[in-house]
Amino acid sequence: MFALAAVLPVRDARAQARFSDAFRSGATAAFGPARGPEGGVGSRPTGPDEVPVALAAPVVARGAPRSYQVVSVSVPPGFLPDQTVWYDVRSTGLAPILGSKAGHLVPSAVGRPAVLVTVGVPARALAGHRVVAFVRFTAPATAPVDVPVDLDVETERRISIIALQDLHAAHGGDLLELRYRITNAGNATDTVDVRVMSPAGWTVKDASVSRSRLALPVNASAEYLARIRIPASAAGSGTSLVSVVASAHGEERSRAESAVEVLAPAGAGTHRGALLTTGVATVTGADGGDNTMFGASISGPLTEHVAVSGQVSSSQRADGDAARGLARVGYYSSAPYLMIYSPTWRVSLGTTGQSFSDVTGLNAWGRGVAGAYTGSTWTGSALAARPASGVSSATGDGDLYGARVSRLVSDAWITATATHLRDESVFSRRLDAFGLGASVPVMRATTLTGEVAQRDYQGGSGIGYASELRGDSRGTNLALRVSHAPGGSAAFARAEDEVSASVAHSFSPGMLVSGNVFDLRDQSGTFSDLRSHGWSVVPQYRLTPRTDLSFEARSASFDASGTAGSFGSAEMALGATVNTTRGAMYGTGSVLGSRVSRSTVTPGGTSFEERAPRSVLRGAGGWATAHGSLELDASLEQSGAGVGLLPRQSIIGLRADRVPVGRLGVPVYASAGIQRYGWFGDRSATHILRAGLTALLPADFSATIDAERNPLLATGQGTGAWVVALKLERATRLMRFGDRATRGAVYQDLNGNGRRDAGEPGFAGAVVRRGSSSMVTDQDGRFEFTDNVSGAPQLDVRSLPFGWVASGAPAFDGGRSAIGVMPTSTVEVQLVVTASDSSSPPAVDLSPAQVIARDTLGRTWIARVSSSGRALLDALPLGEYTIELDLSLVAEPLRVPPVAPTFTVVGRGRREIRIPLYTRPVRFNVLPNSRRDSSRARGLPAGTSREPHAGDSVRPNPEPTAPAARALIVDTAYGRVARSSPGDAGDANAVDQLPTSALLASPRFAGLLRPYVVRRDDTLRGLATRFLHDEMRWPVLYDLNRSSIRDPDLLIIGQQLTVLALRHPLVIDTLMLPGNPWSPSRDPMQPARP
Amino acid sequence: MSRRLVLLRAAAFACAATIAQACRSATDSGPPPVNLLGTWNYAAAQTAPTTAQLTGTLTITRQRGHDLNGTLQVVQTTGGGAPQSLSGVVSGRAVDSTTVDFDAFLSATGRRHLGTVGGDSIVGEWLELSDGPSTTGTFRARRVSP
Repeated sequence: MFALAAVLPVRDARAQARFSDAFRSGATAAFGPARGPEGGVGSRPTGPDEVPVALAAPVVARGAPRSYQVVSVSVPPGFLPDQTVWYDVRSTGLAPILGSKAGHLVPSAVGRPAVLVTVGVPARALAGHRVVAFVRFTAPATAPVDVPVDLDVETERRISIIALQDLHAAHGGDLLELRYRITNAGNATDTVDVRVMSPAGWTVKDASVSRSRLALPVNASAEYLARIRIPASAAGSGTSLVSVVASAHGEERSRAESAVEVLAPAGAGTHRGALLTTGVATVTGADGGDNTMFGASISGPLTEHVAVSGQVSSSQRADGDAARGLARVGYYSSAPYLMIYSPTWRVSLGTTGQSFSDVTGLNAWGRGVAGAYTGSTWTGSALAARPASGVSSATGDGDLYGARVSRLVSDAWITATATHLRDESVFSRRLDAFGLGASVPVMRATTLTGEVAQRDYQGGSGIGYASELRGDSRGTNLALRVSHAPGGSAAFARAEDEVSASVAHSFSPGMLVSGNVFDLRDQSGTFSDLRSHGWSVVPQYRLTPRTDLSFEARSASFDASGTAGSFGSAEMALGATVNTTRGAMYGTGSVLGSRVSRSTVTPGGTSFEERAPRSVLRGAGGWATAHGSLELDASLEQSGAGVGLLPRQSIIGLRADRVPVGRLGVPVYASAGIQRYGWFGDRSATHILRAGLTALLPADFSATIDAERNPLLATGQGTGAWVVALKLERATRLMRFGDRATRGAVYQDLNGNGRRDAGEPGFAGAVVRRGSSSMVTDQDGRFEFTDNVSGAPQLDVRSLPFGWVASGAPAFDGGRSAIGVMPTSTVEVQLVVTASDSSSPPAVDLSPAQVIARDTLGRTWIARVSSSGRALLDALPLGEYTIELDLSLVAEPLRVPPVAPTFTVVGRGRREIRIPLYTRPVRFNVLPNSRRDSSRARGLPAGTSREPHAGDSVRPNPEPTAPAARALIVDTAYGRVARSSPGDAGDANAVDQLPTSALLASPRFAGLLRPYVVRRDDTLRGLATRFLHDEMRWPVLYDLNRSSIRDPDLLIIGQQLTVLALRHPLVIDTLMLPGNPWSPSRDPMQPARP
Repeated sequence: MSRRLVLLRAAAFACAATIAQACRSATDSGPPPVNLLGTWNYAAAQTAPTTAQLTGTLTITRQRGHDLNGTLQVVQTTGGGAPQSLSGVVSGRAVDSTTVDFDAFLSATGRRHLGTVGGDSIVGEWLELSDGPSTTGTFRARRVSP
């Protein structure tokens, strides 16, 4: 760690000047050009009248920032080994130099003596070489030699990256821009690689600063912009994180994360009300009835918990192909109804109905009112209506009344039902019933339900019963059913007798087998006797995660007897079906083979029976996306040469639905299809054509035109004519009752007055929340909430970009909200330690200081200060500010400007403010230059006065007026005391009395001066200890009472004094620290105890 | 051989068998026992399991021997639901001079009709079989044009 310096005097003035410049700038390799032939020598001038000083090769200290390095500087070879050498360590100011600064080295028998120099490596030191000190060696009759101490600062790499906006909000499909700031916080130029990591499916469109590799000088910053496309499928997915990673030399150095909240599309949430649709439709090219129809429907939530569904249409009745045409555009001639419901209850008016139970009445439909309630311990339902034929508002004869109540008793539901049902509208059905039932859990996940009812029906009466066992556990779903309902379907039952069972069992995640069996007998009135029975078994296999294969074996038959005779059918079939999907594509194929038998017996006794095979082959494939669908399907059916069944038929069709048709000014969707029916020459093939367009017009209107040409239908123009239907509708989304619509805007409060003034634009992309709802402002800064949450919307300030803040509380008035945001400015405050005179300011560590910016509202912004006095107020809103400084923790007493600095922030930007800090005034009191003359020292003879700064305490006074005098230095603010050194004392100014008037005038001491009456045993040291917390401050008291104390060693009991009473023991001046050569404790001229 | 391959081969064989079956043709010769050609106003009532009204047009376009073919289009209105416009082909047989037996394929499963023919009218019952209670009803048709 040390180098021996060969010393040669250098007379080259240019070399001297070059070195001098390098020294002042602290440049690296300052010694190269001056290096001499013996290992590096040079010289530098020491002053106009001084002799040149030889320059030796440097001693290098190597270390990292925030470390201390000790180097040994040996006496250069030019000095004789037996010579006493004096040294003087002189700092260049680039780094703190600790340890002894001066002294002498005596000859040593062990080796060449050396000086130990401790160098503190500053935290912000740049990587590289700096000359931080010179060690000058002098000896009699030998030219002085300077040995430079070269500090080699190790490279420290630190990269920081921050997101300039913590939270972003967007919708699916948006292109999002995220900005980051990357800063080189190390001590050397660095190269940074940037990488963006986003959720799966998100696309990083491009990343700029046009490249992902940046070269950043020390302390330099660059803005990084990442553009990311959010997939449409992510709509409403919530919050995701985007990470930007900064790497250098293959290692990750820093990363920043931004939260991206992907909101649901506007209007797609649950906070909208019911959809009311009104419209008119008409059809041309058809016959039968009125071909124009008006309609209205409503569907959706009324309140947060209540929904509505209803429909009404004009009473005109359309028949035949006109009705079909209208139906193709969604218009039917039907009776009006309105249903209001919630999760626990339901009420329906108009066309309504109710199914009570197998034995008390099913499928009772009519015009009236029905309701139902489902509670945790009670359930109930009721119906009061007139039977309806199902068309228009006509009602048929009869009454439909009924009520059913269930009550939970222990684990069982007990049910009672009473019905009076008489329907003569379409077909005569009658039932009067009263039933009691129960539903009880019998084992795990299995429930047994039973009911018995007295049934009175048309033409008879009887006891009906029904029981059902349902279970669902361990992959098995089971249902067994047995019922007997006298009167059958003519008395509102499924059948007169029924036995059925169904079961499904999952043998593995990829295999499911289901089956059923049924046997029914009915006397419906239509048929005097009807029997049907059948069974099926369907195993299903999952071949791949996207492909299923199922088989089917089934049998079904019936035999019926009616007025036209008796007939029956039976079919036993085997089949297989494959379903598969590939992304948006899907396909299905099935094959079925069966054996069919049919029988007929006419009233005249003619009987006919035939058996024939039947085969069906079907397939379909399609592509379904959010932008429409396309499907191709085909089927082939073949039956034997029997009656009633299709001899042969093939169908093939192509269909496209809701395909966007672009660039027509408004969204337009097209649908079209063609279907071909063929009968293999038995008949001519038939083509069915369909086409339609739907346009979404402004103001929520929509128009639809639909055309169909269906040769299978007979129209007014015969077969094969086009039937065209037109529809015009308007769909209006209603408000939910109880909801509060809140509209508002986030605006740029450019003048910071908290109000939106003319010319202040909106602020896009801000997130506003109310309750659980979130909105992002549009390009004009607008937002709208429609929910039932009370309270004003709140701005999520995390969504504001860096440099923007909220401008105060939002204004909320009458459902409208205005939230202001304002730009901020970055203010850099530079504290500059300034000398009170022409001397150089001392080096002061300002890092303990705080800079406080206070606006006119009293709000404060606080910034910490770097050791060099730089403080950054990052985001100050618009306004006027006053800067306050808290220097209480700064070791060196400093004075702030008498008038607090003020400034005004008027917009975005960056500005710098320099604030001078003045060193504290001190007093020099000349002391006698004799350690024996303590009384004179304490007498403090008069002299001149000035107020130098604290740094003067370590500097010789340039105007010596009282040689050999000692200076007593007193900080008038803190009462700190120091003495000059013997050498310096000779240069000290003569000063007059301690400035009692200054003390009295100082606001810091207002109220601290108080009278004191001297008591027995009082001394100035004792009073200093008592009132100033340090006996060494006795000169302050002496100075305060100079007029009454003639001898500081002599106090008179009862003497009136003025004392300075400090409340706290103040920080002792560095001059007082032990080890400091200025400390009185080490001062040989320390005054005697008074 | 994997189970998957076996299953796929079985399905392919079934398809081939179906196509081969389709190559057979049906024949029926001789004069029809009763002329049913023409357009008929069709009205039906569904009596179970729920009630509904059906009105529409039955068109018999082809009759060869006992066999007959045509179309049926109806609007089916139930007591509580929206009306449905249904249409399909008809295929059947005149059993004798007073009885007609045909299926109307308004869905994949045919509705079998059995009616008594009296001049230009047909009266009878229909039934569509399902895995539970069958859908049954009555119908009436009146010929409006031959």
